[in-house]
Amino acid sequence: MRIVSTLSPDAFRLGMDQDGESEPRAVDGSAATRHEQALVERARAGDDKAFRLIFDRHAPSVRRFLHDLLRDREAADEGTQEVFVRAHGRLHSLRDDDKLGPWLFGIARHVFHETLRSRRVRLVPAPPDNEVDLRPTPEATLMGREADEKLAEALAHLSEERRAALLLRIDHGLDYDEIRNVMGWTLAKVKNEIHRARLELRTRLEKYVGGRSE
Amino acid sequence: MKCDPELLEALVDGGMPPEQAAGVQAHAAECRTCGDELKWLRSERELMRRRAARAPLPARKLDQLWSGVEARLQEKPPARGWWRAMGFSTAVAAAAVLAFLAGRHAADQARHPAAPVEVSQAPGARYRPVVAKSDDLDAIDQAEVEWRDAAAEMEEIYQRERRAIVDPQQLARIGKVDVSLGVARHALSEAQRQAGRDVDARLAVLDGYSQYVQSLHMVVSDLEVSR
Repeated sequence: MRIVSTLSPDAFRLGMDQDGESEPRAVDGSAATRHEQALVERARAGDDKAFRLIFDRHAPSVRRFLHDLLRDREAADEGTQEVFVRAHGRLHSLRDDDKLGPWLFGIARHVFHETLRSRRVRLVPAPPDNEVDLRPTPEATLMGREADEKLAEALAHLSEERRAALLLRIDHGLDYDEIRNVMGWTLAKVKNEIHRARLELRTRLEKYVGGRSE
Repeated sequence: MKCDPELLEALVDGGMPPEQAAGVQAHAAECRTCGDELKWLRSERELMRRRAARAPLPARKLDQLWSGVEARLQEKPPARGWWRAMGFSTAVAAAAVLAFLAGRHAADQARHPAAPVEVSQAPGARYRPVVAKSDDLDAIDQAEVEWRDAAAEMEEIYQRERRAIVDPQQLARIGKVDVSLGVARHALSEAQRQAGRDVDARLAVLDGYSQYVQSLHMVVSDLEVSR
């Protein structure tokens, strides 16, 4: 199915901006990192407000990651809570040079596997997690939902591990080395799995997003 | 410039020096393969960004999740504290018993040197037997019960952490730890069986428990850190 839009088809397939550009990431994240380290220090010292700030900042990403892996809203909620309960008890093991985000995704990956084992979550393609959808216009609503459905379908065809690695890279912005730590793989395997995942995703979505040059 | 997918990805990540970025873009404009690749890389990032923007976790939902976390943190004892505290208090108790008995044993020996006793080659009987007083053995019995409980608790925690391991490399490593712990556990049981009412041998068993629990403690801490 080709997704129609009131705007240029090439520019707005699957909800693309007309310029198709991603916003570049901040070059210097050192201030944010220092702020986060300070929060971790406060949380370690028993400051509940600091831990709540950490939760507010990272829970949405962690939950989205778990929902993408588990494809079950309730399991994703429970898993997110489990990640932060564990994180709270293990803040002391977070080294100074560890980034909080990748560390939390590492815990989330373990929680995901445990959830699979304990709950036997049924891994079937699920509708996108649009529990709350702040969609600006009816056109955009249709387009956004269809885009998310196509994306969810394409992601669901990837193996769980491959999907996790790809999402850590393209959704959560981890670099290859951080993904290596989260997944416990070699750097070569990380690159290979993400490359393959990207090819699979591209094959399934290219007709909606825009094909190769003729 | 040669085709380099990693440079294309670095360009999309942002933060590349402007001169280098211009070079990569110029190459992608001329090379169809790299141009397509760059277009896709930008598309997939944009898809993800827009998806995240379309379905943010609302404050109400975040509060609800946090309430669950908070409730569990409140019902949970201080992190890692319960078994650590238990281990340390048991160690302190056992150390106190050891110090007490060792001191009294030395004093007894000074007053009434024990007759030389043939030392058995059995593993649990390498300490010179002494005549035990009933209160000595009571204290040792009590310390041994505490150590046994501490070991059982640590074994349970170890098994829980162990079940959570999914990485094949870590599973291979932990298999070796299993063997070592099994050997230690067997040696401890054997020493315990042979010690009988021999105070020195019983003290050696307590020392063995201490080593065993500390080993488990180290393994569990290592597993926790690696998760």
